[in-house]
Amino acid sequence: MTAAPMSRPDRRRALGTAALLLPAYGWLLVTVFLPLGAMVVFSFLKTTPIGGSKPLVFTTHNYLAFIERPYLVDVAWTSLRLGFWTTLLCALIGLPAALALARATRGRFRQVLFLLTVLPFWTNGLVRTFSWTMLLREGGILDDALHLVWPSAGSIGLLYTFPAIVIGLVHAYLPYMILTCYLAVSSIEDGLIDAARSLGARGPAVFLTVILPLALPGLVSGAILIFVPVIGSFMEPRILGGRIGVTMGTVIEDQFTQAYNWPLGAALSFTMLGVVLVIFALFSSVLRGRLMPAAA
Amino acid sequence: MARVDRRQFTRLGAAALAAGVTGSWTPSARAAAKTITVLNWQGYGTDEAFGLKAFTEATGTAVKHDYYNSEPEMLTKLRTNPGVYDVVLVNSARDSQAQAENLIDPVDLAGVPNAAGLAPSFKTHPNITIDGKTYGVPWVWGMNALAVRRGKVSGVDSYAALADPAYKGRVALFDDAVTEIAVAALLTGQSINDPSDMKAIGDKLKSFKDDVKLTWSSEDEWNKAFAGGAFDVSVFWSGAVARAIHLHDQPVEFVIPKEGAIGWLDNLCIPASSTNKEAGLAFINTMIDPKFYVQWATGSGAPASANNAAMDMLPADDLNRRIHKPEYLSKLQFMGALPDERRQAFNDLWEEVKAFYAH
Amino acid sequence: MLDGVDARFEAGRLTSLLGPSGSGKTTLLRVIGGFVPPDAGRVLIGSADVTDVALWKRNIGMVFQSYALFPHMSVAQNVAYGLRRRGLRGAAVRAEVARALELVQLTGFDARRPKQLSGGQQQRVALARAVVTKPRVLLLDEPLSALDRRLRQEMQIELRRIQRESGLTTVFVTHDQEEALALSDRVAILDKGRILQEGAPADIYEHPKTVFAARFLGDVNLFTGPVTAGGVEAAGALIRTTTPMPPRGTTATLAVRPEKIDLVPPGAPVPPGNNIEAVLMEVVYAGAMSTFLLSAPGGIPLKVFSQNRTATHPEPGTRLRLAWSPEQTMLLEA
Repeated sequence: MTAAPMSRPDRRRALGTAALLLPAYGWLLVTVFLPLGAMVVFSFLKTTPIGGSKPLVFTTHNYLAFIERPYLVDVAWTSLRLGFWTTLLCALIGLPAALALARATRGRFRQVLFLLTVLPFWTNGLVRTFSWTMLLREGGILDDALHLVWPSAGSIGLLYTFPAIVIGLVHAYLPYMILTCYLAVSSIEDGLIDAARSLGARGPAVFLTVILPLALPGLVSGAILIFVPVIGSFMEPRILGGRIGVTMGTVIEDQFTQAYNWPLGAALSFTMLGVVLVIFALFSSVLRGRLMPAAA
Repeated sequence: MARVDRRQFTRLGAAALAAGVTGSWTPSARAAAKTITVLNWQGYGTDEAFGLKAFTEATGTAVKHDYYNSEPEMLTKLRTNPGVYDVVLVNSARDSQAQAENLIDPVDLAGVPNAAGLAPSFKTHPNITIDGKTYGVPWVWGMNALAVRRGKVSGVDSYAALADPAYKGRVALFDDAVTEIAVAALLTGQSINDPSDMKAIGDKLKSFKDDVKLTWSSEDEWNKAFAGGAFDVSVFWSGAVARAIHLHDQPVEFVIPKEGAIGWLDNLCIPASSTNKEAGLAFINTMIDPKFYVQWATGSGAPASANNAAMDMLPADDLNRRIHKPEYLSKLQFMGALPDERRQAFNDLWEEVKAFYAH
Repeated sequence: MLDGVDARFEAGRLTSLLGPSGSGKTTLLRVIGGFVPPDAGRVLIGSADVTDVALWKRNIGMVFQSYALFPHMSVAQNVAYGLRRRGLRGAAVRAEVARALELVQLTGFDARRPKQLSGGQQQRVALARAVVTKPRVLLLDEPLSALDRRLRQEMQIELRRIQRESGLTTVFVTHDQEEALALSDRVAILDKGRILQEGAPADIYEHPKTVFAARFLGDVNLFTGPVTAGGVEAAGALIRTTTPMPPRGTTATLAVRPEKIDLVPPGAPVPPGNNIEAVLMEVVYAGAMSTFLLSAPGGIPLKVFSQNRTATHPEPGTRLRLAWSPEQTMLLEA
């Protein structure tokens, strides 16, 4: 059975829609999918194929990287730990901040607070991260402040430690969580809180049974926005982590800038992508399982 | 691999420029012999404004520049743009690779007047001499060895200090596979360009673990961390030490350990496909002119010149001159050509060592 | 804001708080509920002083104007919410929820989500949720205002039934006088933070104390003029009432409801009692009855409701005679 042919106005409308979508999706295609596609091809090559008259040699060797270089497992685990801690801290700080913004402030005051929240986005990432080094290092600003108050304390050298990297990452990515949670929380009507209280719920119960479930979409989208870039991050680990700042991000970056081994870098990237997708699949089925019976 | 000057200056964003300029040249777009194109790191001497002005006034030839951010990129540009470039800066360790692909021409040093002042050992350096022919004009050189905090560290004369418990947590390493493996090679008495026992090198590097506080990858990063007191002993570049003292007043000393130091030599070459080889050679001649060098070194700062006459023209107390004494040349092992597989092996080993440090 | 309110709500009865926006009726409701503490005075439920008792402990049931159903919970979970807060679990909860859903005639809707329900169904869920915990007081904040006319009328009947069956003391806030009259055992009229008048619906409808109350509770015809013996001079006639009048010489306002007025057909004998002549301006036909808009001498606008016994009406411009009894003429304060 053939479909009925489109009438003229329908066809024009379809073309119009296509014309409107074309710039955005065309852009996406050219700047995202084509390079990614090239990278997929690269990951199966033996050596970087730019220039040179050497013939292309295909291999799946690079995808065995985690088996051949067991130290990569530790490195990947560090990346995942960074992702986990950063996301957790952003949630713990971000949700209360979003709640305060949405429910306890209004008008000019709220606008000012919003501006302050997105301030990290306005600063250059490198400058921002370097300024953390000044705060965190031994003899840095934090150390001096501590000694003002408590002169005999030992010096706190937070720089070049795991917490230092987390601090830098939380600073950079917190605005995402605040914004996504704000969107979710601001759609909670006031009446719901009153209703819950009138039915006998106290503060913590109101939070756990009403606010948190309704803020959950915001937390989830914030978590995705934060977890994925963080496990691939290399700037903060390099600058704030010193010797221990070795993550999948830094290893992959090394392959592209120092070692000039693009195939390995590409293969490692896609392997990490696979790990992330598995994590999300697990997490979302756990979430779905918890939300359905939703015993309040 | 890369060195201080290049890394520092390329961070100023040459990438966009490189992408835009490449491929936009067609031979017909250029006036014959009135313009030459130089391929180099950004801000690395050949594009000094005063030098270009003097050259154009003297010869009537204009100079255009194109930049690269890594040595592989430089090779790629040569391969994919025949006829575009007339002068190219090549790390002498890459000369044989470039020559094997017929990317660069041999140079007759007799035709370069200022080459008379070049240090003899550079003129005949194995890196640039292939099949008896010289493939580039030695230009600038430097050493990678140890930099220590003056006043706090004394009596260091060996790379073994990097594993010395006295400096636990006070060491910074250069995040570069070739350099670090060279350090371990020197410590284990092996050739830095062709070590026979990679396992010994790996073990030696891993033995630094307790001492290492951080790794640095740019001169700027080193200066910030050193000024903040993060470390006292590090692997560093000679020219960068001179700059740290001269420009930033850092209390640092350059030490050449008894095992020797790692040397590097940059040379200016003529691409085989160039159509303005005479003009290119004239430009190179200007670049090794002592007067140009002195103005460059005392103005913006430069590595050591391969031209002894140029070094002699520096003021006696010039740091660059004091650190880069010609007698050191005999204690250096120069970075040389590395086959791709070996370079890959170096990179893999260094990546493994860094991961070892982290856990 | 409330201004010296002293209100009493009979146990087991439905009392309406009726008034325009800003009259303070919702504020009063929220004070009773415990959402807002009063600046002065006490709130007592039964004999217990609950002024200082926190909202969550007060055991009141509240139905909000927007229903405020928890969107992330099913109907059953919404209804069960109050029970679970009190620690009930399992079979006991399910039984109570089933009973509450049966009361509001939504049995079988357990698994639905609020957004799958119609407005009327959401309203009933909100009601079930409020009553399932057997609160001491049931508070309703304009719960029917979002429904269309037919649904509202049905829900009014439902609400009445549920209130009678559960026997809960109910306070109902509305701005719709018809609703208040239909549902309530008692009505309190509020304006500008004060309670103007309180009483059974028929009482305050038939005997409003003020012009405001009279106007708010329905339509009314007003006659203002100097007081004479047993009445007031207005509209070119003497309007008489059986209510005791203030002293002669003062100005007073008398009023009569539109449905109490007869239109005397021309030529028919004039009934005893009040009667005036007026010019018919317009007839508004509404199927079962018609509204006659007339103009009396002195420009006083009059309104008469009349059942449509016949299908014919006088033409606009006709002079008609209006008659009504003095017993049904009310004396109003300004």
